[in-house]
Amino acid sequence: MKIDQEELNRRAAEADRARLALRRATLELLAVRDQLLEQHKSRQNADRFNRPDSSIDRDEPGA
Amino acid sequence: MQIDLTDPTAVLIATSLALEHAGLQAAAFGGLALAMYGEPRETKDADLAVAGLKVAQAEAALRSQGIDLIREFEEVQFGGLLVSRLTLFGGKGGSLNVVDLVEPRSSQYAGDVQARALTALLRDKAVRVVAPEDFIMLKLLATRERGP
Repeated sequence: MKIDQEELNRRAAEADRARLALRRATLELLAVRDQLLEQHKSRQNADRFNRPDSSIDRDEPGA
Repeated sequence: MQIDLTDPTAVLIATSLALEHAGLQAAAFGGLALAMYGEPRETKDADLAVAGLKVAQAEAALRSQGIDLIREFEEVQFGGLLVSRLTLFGGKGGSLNVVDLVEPRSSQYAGDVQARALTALLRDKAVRVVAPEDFIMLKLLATRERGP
């Protein structure tokens, strides 16, 4: 299949646009890492605090 | 507005919001979630973990938001997961992309994954993401048969 110069340029531009979109998306996704990990950490702490058999309850004298 | 389907973030946001708008539970999984947890690998397609969702509902939800699609396959078993694939087409510049809907065969676990999902703010839109422990579990389930 022969491809003329114009078609080749169009395809190259399309591939470049797709590559840039992919790169941008990857950086954006990476940027939310801290948000997610902070949320996860807060939830783990809350779960630990709310657990009925937590060490806080067990350490209470006379409990 | 036409979506650039070569842009994975745009696909994830559009798909998540369309499903949410229809009252369907979904959370980002796969390469996009992995990138959000700090291991980017330039994944183009979007995988979403779902619970109690019929593919026809997802199709209707996406079409209602102006997204054209073809159902490639429905609820194919991959280990302990059921995977349905939709190809989205007609995006900006003739772009297309693939969305996999991934559901654990255990409906209870599928619900737990949704209950534990975290929220990421992407381009000012809240998008649900599977929790890291569920990311690992889902990956393990993909390669293992469910026990009795």
